[in-house]
Amino acid sequence: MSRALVVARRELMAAFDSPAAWLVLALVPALTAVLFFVLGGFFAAGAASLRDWFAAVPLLLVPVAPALTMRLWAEEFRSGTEELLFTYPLRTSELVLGKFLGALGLLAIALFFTLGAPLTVAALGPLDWGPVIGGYLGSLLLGAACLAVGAFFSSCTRNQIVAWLLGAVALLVFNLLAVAATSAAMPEWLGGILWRLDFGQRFAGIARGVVAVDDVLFYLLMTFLFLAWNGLRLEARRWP
Amino acid sequence: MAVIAPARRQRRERLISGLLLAGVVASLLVVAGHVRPRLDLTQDRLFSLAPVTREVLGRLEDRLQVKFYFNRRLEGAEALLPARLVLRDFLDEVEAAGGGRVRVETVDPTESVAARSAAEAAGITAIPMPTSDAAGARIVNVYQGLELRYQDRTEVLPVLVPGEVEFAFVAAVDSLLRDRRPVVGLVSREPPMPPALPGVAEAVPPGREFESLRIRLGRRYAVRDLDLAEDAPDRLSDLAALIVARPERLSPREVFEIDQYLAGGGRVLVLWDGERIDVETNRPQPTETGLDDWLAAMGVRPEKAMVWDQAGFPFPIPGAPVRLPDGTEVRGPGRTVNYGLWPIVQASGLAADHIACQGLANLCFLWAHGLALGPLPAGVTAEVLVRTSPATGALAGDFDLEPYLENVERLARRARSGQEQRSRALVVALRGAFPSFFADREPPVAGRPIRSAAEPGLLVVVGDADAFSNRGIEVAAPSLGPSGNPQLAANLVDWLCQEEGLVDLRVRGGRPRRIRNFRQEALAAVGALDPDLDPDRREELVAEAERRERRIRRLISWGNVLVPPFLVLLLALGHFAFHRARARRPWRPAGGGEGTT
Repeated sequence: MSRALVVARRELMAAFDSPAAWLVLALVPALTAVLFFVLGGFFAAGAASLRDWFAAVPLLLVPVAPALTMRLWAEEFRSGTEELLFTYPLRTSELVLGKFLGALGLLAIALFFTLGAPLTVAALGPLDWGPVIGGYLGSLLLGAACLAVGAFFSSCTRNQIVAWLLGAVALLVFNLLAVAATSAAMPEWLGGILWRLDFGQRFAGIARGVVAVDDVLFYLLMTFLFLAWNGLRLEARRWP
Repeated sequence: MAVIAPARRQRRERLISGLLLAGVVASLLVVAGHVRPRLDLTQDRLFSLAPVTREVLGRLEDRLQVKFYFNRRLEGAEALLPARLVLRDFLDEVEAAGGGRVRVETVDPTESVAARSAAEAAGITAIPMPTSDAAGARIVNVYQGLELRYQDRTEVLPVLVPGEVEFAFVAAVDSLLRDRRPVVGLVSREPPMPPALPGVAEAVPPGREFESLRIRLGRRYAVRDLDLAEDAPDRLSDLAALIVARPERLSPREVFEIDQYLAGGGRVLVLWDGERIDVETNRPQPTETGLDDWLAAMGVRPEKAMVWDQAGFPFPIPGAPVRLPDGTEVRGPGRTVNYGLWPIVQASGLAADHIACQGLANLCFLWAHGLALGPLPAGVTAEVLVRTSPATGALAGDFDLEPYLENVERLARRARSGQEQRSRALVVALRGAFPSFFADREPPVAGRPIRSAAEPGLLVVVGDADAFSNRGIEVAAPSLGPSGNPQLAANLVDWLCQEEGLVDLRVRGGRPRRIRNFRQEALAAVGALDPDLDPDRREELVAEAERRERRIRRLISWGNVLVPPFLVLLLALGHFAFHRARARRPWRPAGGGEGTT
């Protein structure tokens, strides 16, 4: 684990040497604030609540999470540095976990810069902090699952744009499963499964302030599954 | 035996590993779906069952069968998904808390004719919901009802609203356990409902001004219309509470029945009014209640004059006609005026710690009267539950009530120049053992023993009957939203019926969490709230206040948009400057010595 953390730290530091990471850090709070304060009906509704703010998070992560992970493996494959990486005294799982934690750290920092929104709302009215804490916890859990999906697709290609595209499409599908589950053409048994696999519905539950163990387990298991698949892809490259 | 190439075998093994992994995760997800514990982080524990719900479920001795009728397919009505999530969560919680005595079953009435017939037989009908998609506009029939069966009794909640589901569910289960609903008596001078004809929708006669109140109370109670002059006294014996709505020319016999009910420990809500409004002339028509002497003996003296509160209902007034150069006439910009005869009461006018005032906002009284207290009978205590703002005058006599600009300004001036400006009580509650008004008088019913201060009772007097009439229940201002009148009525009746747990349940989460009212602050800051301003000057100030309000909103919005990227930019500049400076530092070999750049 400690070696995974070393990789994570190195990834995070390396990310800050690229303007792309700074751009993501600047865009996430700015975009959420535009959606909530400028385009959304915060002042018209007059409610001291961040419900609408958190409602945008699942869709916001559709482009952002793959953007944070697209270079994780695709860049190594493109430049051929994965051979060098595999010579380090690190297990594949440590490499996967380390790079994932680095990306998660970057997302957590981006979320930190959005704290201005709840602080503003709290200054304007009696904000219930429970759903806000739930919302941020849910954002981290959902973000972890989205990053794991993005990391997996990054390990499937050497082209960053293709990695981003595959990740974004996959996340969009995961966010629309609940809608598909309620369509008339969907058989009931399949609808039930799709409903349970939807990323957004579970996040909505946590963001309203109810942290259910099954929702937390869902995100952790989805993160684990995609990271494990990521590991298998790397193993295939390491030992062809 | 076929020999598989090592690379191909490895690929196959990895594929199998990946699929096995997915299978293990899928199995764990199924197991996780049955894990119940959850943490409710909301301040008021909005998504956890309330103690009263657990207490009611704990009283179940037999199995409670709950059928949740809803259409699983919501194409075109996806907006209902979050509400479904809340309802499903609630029913899961109820099933878990029921400890095997509650069984929840879901039925989709759109899946078969039999299921739809079962729903309709239970009294659950589809709500047509207009929607539009690529195929055009259409109607989606949405089912969202609950049928509860306990022993041989049934309760139905035809439409579930997420914010009210727990209250409605508990009230229904409580009714099932009690065998029948608590009865609330209603005395009024309304015309009776015409006899019901099978298959014909009941038309409500125009004079049934408390029908909305009946419907709302009917969600929890059996509302019994009473004629105190005719009904036998035992019709009052099983009442949980008695409502006397707009008393008019009550006979001594009727007053006697109310008196005896209260003196025997009854709970009475009086919706007092001193006049009816003539809709033709827009003038008050004074009425004789027949109850005033009795109320005075109980310690409450309603004022004959109507209150005029500067915090009145914001009526939109159309602008004055303006003639354009081409001769056409158009209306100038409209404005709102505070109609002081409809006082709006917010949190500052409520008894904050009284159960009946919990979760209330935007109370709107229509042509109300102040209530003076005292002298109180021995052993009776009183408290004011709702009061107007300190800037309240009174208007007595005959005057035009219509809320047009000049009249409102005229009435405001008259109210200020008349009686003293002070806060006036609009709802008062008295409790104690009430002595009989007829203890030292000739009773109107011969031969009946007179009860006096027999049991502690409760008396609530509201200085306005219109507030709980159909109009008062539905009244809403665009700038304030719906009024809290229905909730005040329900809270008062629940409190009188000792259903305080239900009051708690209803008001849970109802605490308004509003941000600052920038418009009001801006109006106050520029001095536009001064009632003595002339209309032109007021218009100028209102425009200035609107500009100020927009400036504040823009500042907050764009501050939130721009400040975080600015901070990130500063940090990025610092980061790159630090690294550049470090890269320029001379390299020093280990062990000392001179380095090179």
